Amino acid sequence: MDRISCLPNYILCEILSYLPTKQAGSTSVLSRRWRHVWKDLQVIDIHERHFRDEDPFDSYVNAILTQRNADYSIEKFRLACETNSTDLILTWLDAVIGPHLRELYLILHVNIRFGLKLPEAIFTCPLLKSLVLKSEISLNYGPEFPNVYLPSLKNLKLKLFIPYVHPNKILSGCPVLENLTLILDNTPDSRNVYVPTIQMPRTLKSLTFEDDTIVLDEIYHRVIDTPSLEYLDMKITIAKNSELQVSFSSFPNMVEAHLNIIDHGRVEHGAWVSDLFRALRETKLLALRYYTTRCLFSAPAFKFPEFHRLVNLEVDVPCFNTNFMLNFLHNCHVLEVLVVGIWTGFDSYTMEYNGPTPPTMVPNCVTSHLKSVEFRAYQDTADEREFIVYLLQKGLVLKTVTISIEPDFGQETKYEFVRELYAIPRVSTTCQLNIWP
Amino acid sequence: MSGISDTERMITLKTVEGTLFDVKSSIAKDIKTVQAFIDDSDDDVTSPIPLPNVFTRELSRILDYLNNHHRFRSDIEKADEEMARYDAEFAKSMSHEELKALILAANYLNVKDLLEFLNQTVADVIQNKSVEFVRNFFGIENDYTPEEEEKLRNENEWAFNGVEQD
Repeated sequence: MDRISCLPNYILCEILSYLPTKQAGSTSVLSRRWRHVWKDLQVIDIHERHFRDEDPFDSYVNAILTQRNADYSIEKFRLACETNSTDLILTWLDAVIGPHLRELYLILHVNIRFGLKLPEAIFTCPLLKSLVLKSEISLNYGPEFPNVYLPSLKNLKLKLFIPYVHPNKILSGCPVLENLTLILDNTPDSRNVYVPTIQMPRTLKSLTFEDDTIVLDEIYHRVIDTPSLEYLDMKITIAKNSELQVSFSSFPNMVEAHLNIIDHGRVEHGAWVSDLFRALRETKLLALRYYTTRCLFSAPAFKFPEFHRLVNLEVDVPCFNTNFMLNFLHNCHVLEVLVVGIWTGFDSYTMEYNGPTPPTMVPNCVTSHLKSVEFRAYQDTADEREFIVYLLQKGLVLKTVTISIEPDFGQETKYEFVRELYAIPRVSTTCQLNIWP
Repeated sequence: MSGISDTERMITLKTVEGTLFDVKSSIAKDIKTVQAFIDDSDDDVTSPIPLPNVFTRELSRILDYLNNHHRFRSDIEKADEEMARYDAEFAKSMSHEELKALILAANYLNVKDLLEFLNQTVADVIQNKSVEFVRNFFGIENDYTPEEEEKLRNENEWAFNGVEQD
């Protein structure tokens, strides 16, 4: 026999565990030695797209679960499917959920109004380390939400199309949670769901949080008291008449932060956004999306914090303001990569920047750290041109400057910009200028 | 550089061909078969430990892998990034034959992390490939009769129907 086939079943199963279960099952015909190997798999990964539309998917899943060796409990279970047989799914889940389950990954598209209600036993799996629930799964158990105690849960992703009211009930039952993705969509069904408070677990290291539910004329609280946080990606939309209050700890270990705050021109939110901005001052990468910078413009008496470790900065601005940008750069001492995007959304606002005039000396990062600058949707306003000239003439260590011109301009105009931009003298002899008309 | 590593106890391993490798005892800890040999010996192990199933070529690559991983782990900053880059290079540099030989060696030596990584690398190679490809890749001799194979394919219809494989 070949030497690989001589390896014990558990090693062969480890190889098969990285494959979709469908393919793992096909190894039964390799040779007699392999006939039953797949049955010991403790990782089951079933994805409907691996099968043809005309295949009897439900009975195939039944076959997999009944043929496998029940002496080996399932440790990881992934199921992605679209089906109407919710009873069957519940039967499968009953077979899977138990004291040995470590990972559960469910993407279910079911055609019932309020989604599939998961067995309550999921919330007390002692070894469960990762839980991912997407699509039409309901966590709406009414006023009596089941007890949640997941003492091993490190990773949790919830992206559900069906409204649910109690993210806190789940979050408070996860004492060691480190990575959380919580996507609260504003679906027609969730429009009237009021989630007044969401409290993130203190143990988090990584948080991806999208909240589109802030739509009622109510006060909302979001609490991010997570001093160990290293990664933050937050997208919050605030409707015109809603009021949002966000409180947070400091983030001394922050490495990467993305902020996308859409507040429909309300200045009141500027205060917490600028406080949050200050709390992120230890980060190495910072991306401010779309309207976020406008909150900073409009924040009363806003002052830039000092970013001692910031290497990558991406800023979207509704309109470019040189003073704002230079004040920012004066506080980024080791910045190497800068990406600026002019963002003209469906409702464009003009921004008045009332901050102080920047110091006359050149920011430290521009003379000694800034290597790469990218400018997106360049519109050739006086401020933009002034800023580009400034960087090319002061950026001693610049390696590349890339400018892509806003597509709405006519060809003639674009080529005129290109000619003029190339003509700007550069202080860094190695600086490469790329312009995309 | 550091005094500790200079004075760290060294263990000598001997391959099938008789090549000798000196290994730090901290690295030997990750080689469970070797560690078990040391634990079972009453005295300090001074003579080379024979590895009757391991060839020079594989052992040198395995030690290379372990040494590099130790180095990454001691350097907290960027450890994960560096390790991922190294692993990707390591996976790319292996021919299919080398990959299989390393799995056998890593299994015999019981180096858990490496074996897991190699198993995943194999899975990446055979992912979405036909039964025939997998058979050739492992060098498996098909000992089913055509009728038996046909019967099995029908019984496990779910595993064979559907999306065309490479």
